[in-house]
Amino acid sequence: MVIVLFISALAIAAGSGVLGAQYENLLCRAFSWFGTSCSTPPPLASDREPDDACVVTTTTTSRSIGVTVVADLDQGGSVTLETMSDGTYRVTADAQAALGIGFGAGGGVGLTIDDKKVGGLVQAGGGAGLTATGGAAWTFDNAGDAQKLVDFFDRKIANATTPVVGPVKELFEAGKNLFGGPDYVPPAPTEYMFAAGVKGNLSASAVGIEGAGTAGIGAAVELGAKYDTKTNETTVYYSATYDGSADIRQGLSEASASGEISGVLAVTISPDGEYLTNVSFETAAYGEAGYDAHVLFNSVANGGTAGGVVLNASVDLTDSESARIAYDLLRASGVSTLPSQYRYPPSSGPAVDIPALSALQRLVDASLERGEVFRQDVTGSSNTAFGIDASGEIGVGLGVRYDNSSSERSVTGAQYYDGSRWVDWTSCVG
Amino acid sequence: MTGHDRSKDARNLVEGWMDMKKMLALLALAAIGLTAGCGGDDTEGSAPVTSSEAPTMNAGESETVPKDEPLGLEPSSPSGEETEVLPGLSITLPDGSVIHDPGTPEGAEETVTYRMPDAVGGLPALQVSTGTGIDIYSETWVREKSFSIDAAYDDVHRSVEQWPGAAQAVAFFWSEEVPLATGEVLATEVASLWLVTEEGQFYSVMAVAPAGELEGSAVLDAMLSAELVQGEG
Repeated sequence: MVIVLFISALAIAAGSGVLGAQYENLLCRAFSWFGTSCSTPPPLASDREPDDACVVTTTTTSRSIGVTVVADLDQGGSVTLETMSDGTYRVTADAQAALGIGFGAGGGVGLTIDDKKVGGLVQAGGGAGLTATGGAAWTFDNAGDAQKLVDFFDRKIANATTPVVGPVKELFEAGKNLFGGPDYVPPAPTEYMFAAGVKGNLSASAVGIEGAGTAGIGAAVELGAKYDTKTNETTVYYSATYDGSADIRQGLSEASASGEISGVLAVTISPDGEYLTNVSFETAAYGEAGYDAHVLFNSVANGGTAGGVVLNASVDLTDSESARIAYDLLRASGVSTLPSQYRYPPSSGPAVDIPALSALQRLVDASLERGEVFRQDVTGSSNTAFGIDASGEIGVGLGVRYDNSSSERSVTGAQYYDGSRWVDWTSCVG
Repeated sequence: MTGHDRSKDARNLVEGWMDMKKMLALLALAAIGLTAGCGGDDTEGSAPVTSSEAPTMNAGESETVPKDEPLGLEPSSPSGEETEVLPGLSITLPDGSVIHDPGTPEGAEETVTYRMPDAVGGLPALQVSTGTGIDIYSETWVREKSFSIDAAYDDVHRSVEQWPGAAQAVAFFWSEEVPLATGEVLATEVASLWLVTEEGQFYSVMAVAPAGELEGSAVLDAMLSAELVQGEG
């Protein structure tokens, strides 16, 4: 009884802001089933700079793989080198089957040529005809190490595009010395990405059950998922489109925007798979077509930008209100189909159906208030560098990069929202 | 609410059902041996046919490799009409099964759906899809993760199986609550068998029944009658 009272007192103290914000939030999360509500104060403006490193420049090489080297396969593969704002470098390998990249968790990476492993430890999904759809990413502290890995892959790609006469084995022997050196063994990746290749809805709701409702069967489509080997968290990515006309028809036009906004919805799951820890939405805006996105984000279009503006909002689900907003958005997006109780934090009441664009607006507003919101002005040598408008081929999120080939892009300006205004994110500009 | 109970039930269902299947399969094999004498190729089906060709990996090497205990699924031989439902895959459908087209989204894989003879309101139903360029380990892994976001899904089981003629096989089972237009929710059970051939053609064979009606059902038998047709795909 005494313990319960003590805990209750702590929880009430947490709810009333007597304790420091950090402890307050932790306690509130821990004891919120005692009936307190978690009123997390907005973070200070100085704390609002996004923690994650951002991409400063990106160079992507992509070449077609000929059938000469990789038996019976003729698909492309790409390797991306990114310079990060925190001084690190990220290499992302788009592991299409042609490259024969195995990405076993913790087991390093392996390349396979003519059934031989090159510099690798593990080959996953590498049987003839089997397809590995996904990729892996590595983060390096210095450019040299990153370049070694790029060379490792790039030489492979370059050689593969060169018609080779003679047994593949000879190429293998000759090529061994080119792949980052004869003894080069790539380190274990820090992230793995796996694409969702099946386009159809393979679930019970897709077999034509009579009387099945349409609620919850939204437009969101799974793009894939990313597994972080450091945090053991998984993030699932969805392509989603939000149409404001439904909000207006229902007289619920909370969202200032009335148009249509497409983007990538990312949902992060805790290592034990029990809880959702973060929900984010990323979109891109170009010229006049991007007006609605700017309105949504309380942002202003940059008229002089040749490329576009990437807008990203994310909020950690550490309090009841954020969780509720996130779950309402997931349901409005068709990601979550049942109006069930919120799983994290403990329920704050029954779910309510909210028009999709309004639900999105609420998430962005919550992010503006207490999450992370940033925008990047992006230019590139290719106008098609941003896959976000291309249906089904959205590369945003998976490896946090833009899926295109032979292109270079750089960030010319970046800002984050500090709670009341946009401020320059100087470390994010190359 | 009853997720725990259902999870236990589903497990019992699978285990009990498996024992029965194994016995039936053994009896079937014995019958083949007695009557046909030299059905060598057929009987090899129960062995891991691709063990020598299979990728050199085990459960610990890749995040996406299904890690649940294998169910030991084995092909069934139900009565009915053997039909090549999609190029490269035949299913023995119960007499009276009706093909149903719930509408395939643009760009989706080639899909065919059958309602079972005793279907009420559309269930039980069998849906088969096929395509290429799919890694069935990572595909089902992504779906499993996605299911964990949606409270409509529960009791997920994902395991590596062996299947005659398949380079890889995955059993992917779950329970799913389907929202109805009336506001009610229909509890269903889903069993799906994912196969990929050496040539890279994948098949998803999915049996859907109202909760509690999948065990011993004709639709489950139909799913387990899936047979990769040689030379196709």
